[in-house]
Amino acid sequence: MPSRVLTIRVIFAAMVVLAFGYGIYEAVSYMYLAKIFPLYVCLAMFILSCINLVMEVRISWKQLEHSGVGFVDLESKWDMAMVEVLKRFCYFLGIVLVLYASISLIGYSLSITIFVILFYRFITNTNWWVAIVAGLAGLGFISLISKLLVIDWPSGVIQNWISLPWPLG
Amino acid sequence: MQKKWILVGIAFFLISSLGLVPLAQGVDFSGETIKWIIPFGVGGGSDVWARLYAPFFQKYLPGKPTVAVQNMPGGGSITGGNYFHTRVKADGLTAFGSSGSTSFPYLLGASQVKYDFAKYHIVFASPTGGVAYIKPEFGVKSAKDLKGFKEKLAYASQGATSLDIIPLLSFEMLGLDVKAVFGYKGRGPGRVAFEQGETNIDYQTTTAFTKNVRPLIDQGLAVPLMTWGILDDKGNVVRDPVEPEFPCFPEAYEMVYGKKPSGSAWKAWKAFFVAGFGVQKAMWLPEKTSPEIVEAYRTAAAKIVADPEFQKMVKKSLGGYPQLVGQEARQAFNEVLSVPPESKQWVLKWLKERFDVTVK
Amino acid sequence: MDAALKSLSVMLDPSHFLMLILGVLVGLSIGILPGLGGIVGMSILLPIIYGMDPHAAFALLIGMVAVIPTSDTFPSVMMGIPGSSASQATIMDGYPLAKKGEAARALGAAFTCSLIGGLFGAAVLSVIIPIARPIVLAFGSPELFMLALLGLSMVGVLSGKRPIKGVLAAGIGLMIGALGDAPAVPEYRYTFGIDYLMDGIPLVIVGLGLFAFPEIVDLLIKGKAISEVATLGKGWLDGVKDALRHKLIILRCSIIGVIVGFLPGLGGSVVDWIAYGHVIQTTRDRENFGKGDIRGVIAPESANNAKEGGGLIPTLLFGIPGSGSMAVFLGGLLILGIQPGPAMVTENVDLLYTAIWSLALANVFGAGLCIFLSKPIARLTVIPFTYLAPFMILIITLASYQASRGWGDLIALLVMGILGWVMKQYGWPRPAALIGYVLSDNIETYLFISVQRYGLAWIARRGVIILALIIIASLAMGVFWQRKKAPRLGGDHAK
Repeated sequence: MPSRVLTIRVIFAAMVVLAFGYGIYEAVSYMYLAKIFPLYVCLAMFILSCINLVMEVRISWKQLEHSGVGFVDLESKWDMAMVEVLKRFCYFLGIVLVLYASISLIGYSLSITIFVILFYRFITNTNWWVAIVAGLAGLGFISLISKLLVIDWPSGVIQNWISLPWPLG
Repeated sequence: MQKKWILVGIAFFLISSLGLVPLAQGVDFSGETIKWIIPFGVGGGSDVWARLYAPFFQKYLPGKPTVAVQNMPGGGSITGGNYFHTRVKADGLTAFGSSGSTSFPYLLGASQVKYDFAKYHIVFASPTGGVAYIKPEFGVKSAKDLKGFKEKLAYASQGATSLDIIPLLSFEMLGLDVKAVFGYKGRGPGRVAFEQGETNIDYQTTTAFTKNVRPLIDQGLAVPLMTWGILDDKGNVVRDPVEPEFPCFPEAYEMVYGKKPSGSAWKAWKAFFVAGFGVQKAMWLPEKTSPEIVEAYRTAAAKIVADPEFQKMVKKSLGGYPQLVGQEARQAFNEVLSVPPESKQWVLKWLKERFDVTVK
Repeated sequence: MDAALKSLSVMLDPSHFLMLILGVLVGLSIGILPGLGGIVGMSILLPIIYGMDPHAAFALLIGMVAVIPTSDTFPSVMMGIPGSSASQATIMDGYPLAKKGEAARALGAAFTCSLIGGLFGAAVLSVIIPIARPIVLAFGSPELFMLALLGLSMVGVLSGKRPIKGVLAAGIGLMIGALGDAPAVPEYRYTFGIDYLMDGIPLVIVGLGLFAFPEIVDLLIKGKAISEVATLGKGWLDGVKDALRHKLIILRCSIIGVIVGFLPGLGGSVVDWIAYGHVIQTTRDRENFGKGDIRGVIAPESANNAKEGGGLIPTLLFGIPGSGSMAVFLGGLLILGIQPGPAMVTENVDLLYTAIWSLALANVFGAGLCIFLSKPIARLTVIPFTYLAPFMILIITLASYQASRGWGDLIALLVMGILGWVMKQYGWPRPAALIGYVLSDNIETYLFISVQRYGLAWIARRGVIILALIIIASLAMGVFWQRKKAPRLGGDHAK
């Protein structure tokens, strides 16, 4: 039953194996001084990651309970099915990707302002006024940082065509 | 009928705005912000150098603009250099500050480098000097004793293609058996390694030398050998005016071999010395900048150098070397630009054979 | 002593005092904003110190840097998002406390520890300065390599029941740290031809990606307020009492903070993890760590303020900065026309005392102000997270972008963020990855230097052997307590 084994858990463990494998492959071609460290780390980790992969597959195959949370990391405990969690994760990832796309189109300052406004209006569900005030507050903040640190925020495609007034340009 | 008048009006505006361009001959930066791109992080040597200069440019550029240092670190300054080359407008509102670490990959022909100093306008340049010293237990009292010196030495280096080309090449030319230990994060950690005894030959810039190595010399924990020297206006390498009691490298060479340095190694040494020390840091304007703007910058730089307050600051924070302005800087930097290809090849070959390092 | 009192009177001069307060306010604001830390604070203040009286400038800069590890606790505790790299470990227990509605208590404890740790750091600085030179000089590259290994050995306790994933996570961290230019040779590793990767991925982005991004996403997925109970529960006074009850932990962790601060081998950004790992190692009843144990807040918070005192030692005496913000501070010194070096304890001793007093006073004001603010700010945890989320996204993108100012920063944030989220969901300990990342460069370079310089003889150095024994003892201690508790841990399964 491949679906039982091909969980994200196992796929990620496999990706780690591949990553360390690639690490070895790349490192071999480097100059001596640059090679030693990544090569040995990757070799050791490659072996360990293979063991880990086998363990993950075994756990998934036998559907053992994954050993519980230790004092190691803040794993989330979900009161919903993992499928739902993943769905929502992709949804928010999508929002971030749209934000990035819009930054490359209309620049950081403008995008982030619009992002805050739309987020407030449609996800937080405030009224338009609150949303706009929040957006302007965000714009004011990034403009202040831009002045203080002498940074130009990334500009988008349209800034090449029309020059917008600072801080939007 | 009305349309026609509007067209005439537009035409009038267009013409008059075109007319404004030649009218703006007297360069005036009132109310403007000038960005000075420094291809390193905040707090580094080049950043400090630019920040010390910036308030004076603010004072002397026509119209007293705000001069802001804009850090653009990355790729050992290659990222900032490439940005300056490809993206910056030649309107006098953006300048660039280069350092030895920007010039070296350019000289070595690193593939990532897109910038080309031959095309830009230099405003001014700041030289710096270095002093080499050795542990006392070898019985070396001065550069003279290096003749026939055969002990094994170790030097703390940042990397073979960094500014360390100069000390490493100097040691090699003097016939010293120096093992370069790579990986130190700068001259400060290098000096600490020397104090710990992890290495036994080292160099510091003159400013750091005065404060940190002089006390060691007084306690008998270090022996000064030589300075790299400084470039005079005829393009010769002469004694360092800040530490005039020590011989400069060509003198030390003469002490050891009884003749002046010459040949491909010397040519390469000099080219890299000028890029790394002689005109270590320089301010540049983009290729297409109008001559008036370039002149305005150079005039401002000349006024700055003459300012007594600035001179005091140079002494305190920049080592006290004479700053090179305009043509003077251009001339000095020409030494870097006119490096014969065989000298470059010689260095590349030397790096490969001696340290197994290739520049990609 | 005379000089110390004279410096105090200079400090209390209104113009200097005002600078100190200004520095403290800037530091507190920057600390609260996730991803912005000492380097950013220094960058903001550096342009204004030109021509300033050195005492005033010291008050300003040190006042700022001293309180960042105080206020950066706010986002760490309340949102699980590190306020700066110094407070990452505070998340582990501070954030679960906030979820239980005990944010005010966690903050109260944290600020008390910050204050004590900070004062301890200042006190040590004043005592140790005359004898600091030989101590710093005793640590050559081989010893620094062993110190970095000691730091890495904390991965053992921080991976709990999944040692293999802990080690692998650390390996992932080591390799992320190895991206980009190799030390000493012009070789760019694993760049896939992308110019951005030539310098590797900056610490801010790895920190925000692994810890902030996953938390923001998870809170959005849950769609609730951070606190799972509506009331704020116990107040900050209980936190103060908690802290005072664990005096010994504060003392031990402050010492760790100072030592890590003043030895250049570890870098300031792991001090919180080392203190956190240390407190777990030396505690018998450890099953509550990671679920809201107040000791998990006390340890990192005492250490991270103490480290600033330690960090000033190599910066002022040798001109070798121990952390990113100290590197910028060093630039500030040069702008003021001060060359660091042995003269700091002779010619410039007055400035040294100004530094010490600034550190002490700033810690008092910083902690005081934070305690005063903790109650209203703790209320933020009961409002729905969707009000905060867009601003959090704004701040983490902004903080990432300022790291190297290119599109690569934003993309790296996203990639690290997804990696962090997956690791968080599937039990790969992120702290181990972060420690690996931070120590990667030190481990590689110091090992290199040791081998280049001494061949294999470096292993027989006295300092190396002592440190090796400490590492073994520390690992053994972790295993020992683990064994003792094993039967009970087996029964406790959280899903």
